[in-house]
Amino acid sequence: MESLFARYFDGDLDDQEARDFLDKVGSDPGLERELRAYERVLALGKEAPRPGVPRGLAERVLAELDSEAQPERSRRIPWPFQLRWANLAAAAAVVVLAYIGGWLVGRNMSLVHRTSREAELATTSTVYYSPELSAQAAAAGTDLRYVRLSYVPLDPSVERVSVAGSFNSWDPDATPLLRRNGVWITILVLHPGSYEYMFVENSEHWVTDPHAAKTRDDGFGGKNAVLDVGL
Amino acid sequence: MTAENDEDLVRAVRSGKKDAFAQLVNRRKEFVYGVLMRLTADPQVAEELAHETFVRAYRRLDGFRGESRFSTWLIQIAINLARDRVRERGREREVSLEAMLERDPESPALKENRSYYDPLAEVSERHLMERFEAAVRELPHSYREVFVLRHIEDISYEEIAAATGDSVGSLKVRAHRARKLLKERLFPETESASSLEVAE
Repeated sequence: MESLFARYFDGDLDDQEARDFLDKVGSDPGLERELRAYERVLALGKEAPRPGVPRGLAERVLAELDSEAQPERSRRIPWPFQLRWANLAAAAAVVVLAYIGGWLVGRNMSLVHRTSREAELATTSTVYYSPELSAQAAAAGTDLRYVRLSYVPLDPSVERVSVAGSFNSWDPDATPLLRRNGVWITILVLHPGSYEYMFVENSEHWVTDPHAAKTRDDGFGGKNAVLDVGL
Repeated sequence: MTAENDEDLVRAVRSGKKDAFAQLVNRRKEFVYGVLMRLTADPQVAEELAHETFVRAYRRLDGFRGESRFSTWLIQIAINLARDRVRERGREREVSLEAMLERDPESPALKENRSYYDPLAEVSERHLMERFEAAVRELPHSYREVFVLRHIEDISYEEIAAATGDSVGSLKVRAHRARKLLKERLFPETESASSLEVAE
């Protein structure tokens, strides 16, 4: 019967074989229960919802392909994402200048929260630099690097986590992390260089990455984590 | 721009319209990520491999000759990445229910796996779906792969064979074993006394 069940559910029985199979199953309550159980399994497969796609997946793919040549022929159509990194670099440069000039009033106000909260935290965070993907990017003629940031707030009730740094104009809303099984993650696509960053909880609490390999004084009594990418 | 199907978009990308690839990514990201999520059972790995699937697809687009559907060609890349990852990890849980059943049907591990099952309980559909998803994750990778593609994504055996390089016969054997393991996990009161008779 086992092989008949297999062939039945793969549609490999002809009409007569299928009728004979179902007659036999119908005359045996045990086999009938088995048939119904198989059918339920297949129904569950049909009903199973697709997992939700992480936000930003498509954008990250397209950002990586931004600097690549067309797979065939010449690139005659402007790539809509070409300006993204140029804009980002320009924004970062402006931020550095503004930072030196002490123009980041809003951020300074947030720093008050940060320093008192830092002492309370025993968070776990990791910066995973993906040499494999980065090597592939290098082989394809682009110098973009992939860095996965993960962060576990001490307080599990934290509702939003983002990373703000020199790569996104210190915008606490620009790069949200996604929560996966209690771990907040994001993947940054960056050109080689040295970047500073902080995690931001609920858009207001700025937290220095407690496991950063390197930190740098921010000039306001706090410390920024330093991320050296592909240097 | 709008296009009728994936293949139109592929032609558009090849003709220089790189933004057509953005449409392909958006059109197929749920499919690719969904399969990888079920194959890897790890959101971070699934995201990384989905990313890599699309990047490789773009770089190798000139290798797509239209002999299969674009979605089949795309999922072939994803499947191979997932298989590579499983090999790299070397931690595939082959402590499968099948192995336990073959070794010792009354093994403590198997009993533990069934311990939550109460045939008298009225199991909600949601709970049943959660158990189903968990049981799929517990399948050996080669069984999980064909079950996900055939019975969740509804891809024909012929297309799966084209994507994986496996024979249709081998796929059917693995699909049956997957169905049987899931049935026995979810509905153990219907467990057949017979052992597997389908040879691979």
